[in-house]
Amino acid sequence: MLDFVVPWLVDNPEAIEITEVEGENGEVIYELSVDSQDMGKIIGKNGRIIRSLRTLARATGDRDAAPVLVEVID
Amino acid sequence: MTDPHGFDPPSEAAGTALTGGTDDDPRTMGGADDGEESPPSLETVAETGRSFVSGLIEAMGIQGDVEAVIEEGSVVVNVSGGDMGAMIGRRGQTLEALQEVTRTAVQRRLRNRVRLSVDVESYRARRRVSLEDYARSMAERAKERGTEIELEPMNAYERKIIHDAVAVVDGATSFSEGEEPTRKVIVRGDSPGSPGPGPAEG
Repeated sequence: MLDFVVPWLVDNPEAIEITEVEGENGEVIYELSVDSQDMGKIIGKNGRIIRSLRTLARATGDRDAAPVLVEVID
Repeated sequence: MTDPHGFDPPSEAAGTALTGGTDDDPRTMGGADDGEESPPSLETVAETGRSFVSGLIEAMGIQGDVEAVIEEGSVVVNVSGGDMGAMIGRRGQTLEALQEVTRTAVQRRLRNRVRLSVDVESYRARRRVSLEDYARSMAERAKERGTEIELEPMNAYERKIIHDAVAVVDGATSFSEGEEPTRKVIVRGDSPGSPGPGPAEG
């Protein structure tokens, strides 16, 4: 899902890196890294964009109720 | 074919319609020509929105049909079919996120502000009707009792629906209180026969 959305949101799609890691309690964590110039575009005013991305990530696929987290890496 | 609106495209660069680009690769649009934005036509907004939402739900592993319609100067992208509960979410939260991301994606792509909303199985339309009914009945109740009634937390869009519906009831007013995401509407009924709030009788 992030692979599709994030390139639409940033100016520099070349710099996007998305890594899926498993958290301590089995949760799925997507670590998202973008060009520093694009950081604000991914977070959005008052965090609106990143919050929406988290909500969509949680609604994606059948994750057996494992929490899904999206973290922005600096 | 007849076009009921007789739509006139804006008279700028006629040959540069976006239809030639591939929908799948945003990089094709991310060129250095920022600024100099001429407002995109509603047709372009509709097609871009439809393309984004189609790709997004596919990426989410959800099957559905996506169509975009132009209504009163703005674009509504509608998703239907399949299991849409996941796309709506609790109290419409997922739908709000879908709309937020879609609007932002389309604006970035077209480098313009756009008027665009997203609906799933007409959830918004149905929710609007039930919120309006609810608002009117709460306004009547507040009026009868001459008190304030506090409603449950709602997002800005839903609060607006409530305010608009209460506004047409004589003798009732409404305002919002608290901070997001638990900001809520208070419906206030004027005491019968007295202009201001306060006890009706001593």
